Amino acid sequence: MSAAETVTLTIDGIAVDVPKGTGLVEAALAAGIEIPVFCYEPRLGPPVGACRMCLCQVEPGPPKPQAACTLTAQDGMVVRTALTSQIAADAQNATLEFILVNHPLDCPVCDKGGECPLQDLTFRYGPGNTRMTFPKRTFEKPIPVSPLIALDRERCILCYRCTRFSEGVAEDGQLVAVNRGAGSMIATFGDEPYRAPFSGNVIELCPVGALTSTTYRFEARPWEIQAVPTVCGMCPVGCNVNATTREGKVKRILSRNHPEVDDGWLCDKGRFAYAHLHAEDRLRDPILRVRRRGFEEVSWERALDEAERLLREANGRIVTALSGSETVEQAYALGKLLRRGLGAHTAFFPEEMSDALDAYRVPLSAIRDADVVAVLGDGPVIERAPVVELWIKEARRRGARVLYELDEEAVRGADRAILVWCGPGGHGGATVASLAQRLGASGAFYIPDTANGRGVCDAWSCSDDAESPSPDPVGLLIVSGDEAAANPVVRALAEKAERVIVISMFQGLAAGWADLVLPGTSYLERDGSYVNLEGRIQRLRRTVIPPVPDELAWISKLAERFEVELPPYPSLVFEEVSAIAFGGIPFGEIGERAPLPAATGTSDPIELPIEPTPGDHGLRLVRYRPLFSGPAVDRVPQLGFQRPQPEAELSEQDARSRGIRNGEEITIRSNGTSVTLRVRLSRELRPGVVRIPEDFAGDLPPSVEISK
Amino acid sequence: MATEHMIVMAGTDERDLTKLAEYEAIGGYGALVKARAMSPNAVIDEVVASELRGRGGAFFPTGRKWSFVPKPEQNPNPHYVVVNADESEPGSFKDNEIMARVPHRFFEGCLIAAHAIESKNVFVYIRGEYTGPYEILLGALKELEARADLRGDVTIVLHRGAGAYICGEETALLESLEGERGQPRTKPPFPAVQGLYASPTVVNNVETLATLPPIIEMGGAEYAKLGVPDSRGTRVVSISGHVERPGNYEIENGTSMRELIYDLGGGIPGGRALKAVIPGGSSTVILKGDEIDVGYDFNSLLNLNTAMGSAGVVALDDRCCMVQLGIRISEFYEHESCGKCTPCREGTRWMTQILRRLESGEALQSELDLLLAVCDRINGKCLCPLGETAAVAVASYVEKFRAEFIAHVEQSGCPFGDSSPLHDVVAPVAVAHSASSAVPA
Repeated sequence: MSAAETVTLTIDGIAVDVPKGTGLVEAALAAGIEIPVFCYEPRLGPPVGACRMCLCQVEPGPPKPQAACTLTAQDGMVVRTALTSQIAADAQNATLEFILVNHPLDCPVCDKGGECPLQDLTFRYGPGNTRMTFPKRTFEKPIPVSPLIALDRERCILCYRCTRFSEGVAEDGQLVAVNRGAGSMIATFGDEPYRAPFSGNVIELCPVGALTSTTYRFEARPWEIQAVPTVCGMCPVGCNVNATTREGKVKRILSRNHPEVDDGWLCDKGRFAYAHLHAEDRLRDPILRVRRRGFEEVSWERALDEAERLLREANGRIVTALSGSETVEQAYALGKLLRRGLGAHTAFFPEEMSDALDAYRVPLSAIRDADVVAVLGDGPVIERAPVVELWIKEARRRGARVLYELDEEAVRGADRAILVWCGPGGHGGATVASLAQRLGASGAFYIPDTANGRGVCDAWSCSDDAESPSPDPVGLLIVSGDEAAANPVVRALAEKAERVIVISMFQGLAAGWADLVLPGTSYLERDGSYVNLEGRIQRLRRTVIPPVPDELAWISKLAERFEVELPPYPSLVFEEVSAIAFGGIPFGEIGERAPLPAATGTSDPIELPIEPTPGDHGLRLVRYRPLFSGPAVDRVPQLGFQRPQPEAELSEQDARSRGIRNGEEITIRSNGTSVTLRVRLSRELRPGVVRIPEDFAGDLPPSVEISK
Repeated sequence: MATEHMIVMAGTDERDLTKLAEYEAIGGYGALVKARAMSPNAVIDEVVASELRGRGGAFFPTGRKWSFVPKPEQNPNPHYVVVNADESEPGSFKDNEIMARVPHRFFEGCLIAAHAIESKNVFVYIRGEYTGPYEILLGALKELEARADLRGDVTIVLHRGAGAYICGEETALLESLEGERGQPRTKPPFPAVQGLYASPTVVNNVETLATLPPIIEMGGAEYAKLGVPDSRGTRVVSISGHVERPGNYEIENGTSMRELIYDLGGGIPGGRALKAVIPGGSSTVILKGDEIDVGYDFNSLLNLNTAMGSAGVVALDDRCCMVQLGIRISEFYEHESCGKCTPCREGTRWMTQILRRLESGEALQSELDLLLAVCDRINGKCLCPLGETAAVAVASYVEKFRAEFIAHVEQSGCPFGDSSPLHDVVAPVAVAHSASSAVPA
């Protein structure tokens, strides 16, 4: 790689070399100098120069102070910030004076107080007193922008970060500025609730206390909280987050920008679903089925005795249903106990996983730099791996062609083509891997249904080498985790099993059909590791102590009874897995912002699996699990308004050929069953497919007809 | 020498030039034919030779502006001519009359500009309230569109604004034209390189474009014989306020301001004394009544720290209160501030608040300094010229009429009260000033 072209400029007398095209704010940072900003945020697109906080003296240039955030470093440029220029210092002081004339200065009761850029910059650059003696501008407040977000228009400094995010990043177009001049204010379009999957990011973007989280409002002061770095366990992206905790409780989730994974964005599920930790039906004690009397809560000692008895009585006829949300360590521990201790090798995974994709492993950020992105599989990316959708949107804004139907010529002809598989089928990534190889794509992704599907598969498979036939009948079904417990296939399996043990966080999911329920923990309560959809191994940290013993601790105790050696520490368990599956990297080296393991080269042709083709006539029905659904979301009432609408998505072409217009009701039918839904036309759907959230799909088969 | 209707308005006394046939009868569209026979570069050279400078207010050399536009081979995107017909500056109403009386000369200029920058698309962004000129342009455009020989392959689109002064700022105009909120963009990139739809764009004022056909017809060098150095040719000046004959007058640049007010404007009604003159629309530094023995041209006014701006000359007689004038101007800019950048949004509001308190007589002497400090803190810090000009204009009232401002403090009220005849002059007020008890009998 040739050295990037650099330019040399002087900032406050310090000469600094930066790559050509570097913005002045970043160039100053390279010289160790702060240029203060409010509106500037490169992730929101081109600078707007609105707040005027960054005014500096810049030569060559006009004699007046320049908005440094809008300028890029040029050779020979001389920049003087408030440190060395009275003009810049006066200009920055003036900006703060203007911002503060109508700011309520209610810092003592403001959630942002103590972690507020307006406070910080006023402290460093602002006036220490006020010359404003007129009544301040007032607005009605707080305005509920949505059940999740409160807006205080008096605190707002109109940096337009939130509206730029809404328009230019999430592209939901719902947050807007209305009115003009001093009467300008932020509002939602048509005063509708801000209902969009990424809405919570505006809270973090807001440099003042204007946009606050309704779930965090008045919950804590910044000096009495801790930030625990971990990763989100709600989908296979594994966005890096900080959990804010206070007195042993999670109070909020913030992004912890990993520029290759999430670019600092979170979806509302990842941000707000933490409240499931405090769900009313959270299990705290094991539950045992007792004849006649039904169920009773028992001690952990008794529960482990019962578990041991059930395991022994099953005589090896055991099936384990995994969720894909276990940590690598939990899955390995279960595998080691059951497979080595009991010879029970049969596992039910939520989905197939293939390692063929490892040859096309690239960071998610590579999507942004692609010139062709092909999204295959007919599933909605935003519902399965929301942040991936933001990468795709950014690629499109940068001029990439985004295809929703495979165009082999376009992929072949591109310098950088990325394939993404999202939806049913796909053989755990084998299909896109094979296509990537054949068409010369530079990267490929498979979006699994579960947060750690890949890690769980790897961990289970390296827990033992032996195999055994599937037991019939099943003596004992072990259901690991809430997703498995909610899975209809697993429930059907349970009906036939003689005995059932369920590990679950919630009473509502497990009570009634299990012989023994062992309370489970959430990803926010576990130490361990996850493997995300890129193949990146990321570290989960225990952000709060769970109200129940963690899985690894009691699995280890149980393992002892079967003479299986299993340390109760994630670090040691990880190292056993790592030695086989992850090239031996130690637990301590996973890192805060985990690197992506190198792609494993392959020259062997990857066989293209055969995908089922829809029938000769009719449309293919793709049913999907919506983002805002599942055991955790079900327990967070504030997320209720984000639930999917009863809608069916249809391509414009299919709609046109049937004379169907956006918003009309259509009937989807097959073999005597039918559902009627409002239609939403989608440019992100190829012809021949109709897409429906699973809650509204009834028992429709995969091939359907539609009519008005 | 003040002569009327020499270049831009030529022929309007004799004929109804809104009709294509009438316009053609005096040789109309001949310049277009002549220009099209020239290479685009030759047209630009001719305009450079004419020393024509933009009539919208910034006075930027038109030929030079065009020369910044990349050639189609350098940038294959469509090139656009955008006409700034959003004339909204208090005191200026010249483009109104130009569009209403010589629409074809204006369109001919548009087509010459399109030829010069090799554009096929002209967008005319006309002030929403200009319904009369809009109807006339519509009629003229209809006639023009029926004439393929004149129109060529250029499309002219009339787009009506929605009543925002800020949309007269060229980048806000482009945003508005694109369907966005009318707020200025940061520069660079300049419109010549990245304007409408991020493509090369020339934004020109109505009068600038209407001056092109005569320039092509007579030749740039001939046009440059008119006027004075750095201010060549003629200018359509809007004269209003306390004059006998308010209206638009086409003058040769360099004509004395006294001539404008006393000869063309007919002097001050009732033989009153001239107290002050706003020389180039509300955003320019005010002149005292005794500062008008000066040529109406760029350099002469620059010597007095002011400008021709958009050529709106407003005469104010000796009954006018400068604090009340300040309130009118400040309220106008506060009302028209787009709200994008901090100093303008917050500062213009604060200025109005201080000025109102001065007028009411409740202000302290120190608040006069505060007013100047606020103006100073706005000036030079804004994203676009709107807030800056408000600050500069108001500060000039204080600077030139400081004693009058101090009198408001010392007398605890306005010495003029209701007798200050600013109604219907410059800009309407949102809230009528309150007459203080200290009004002299």
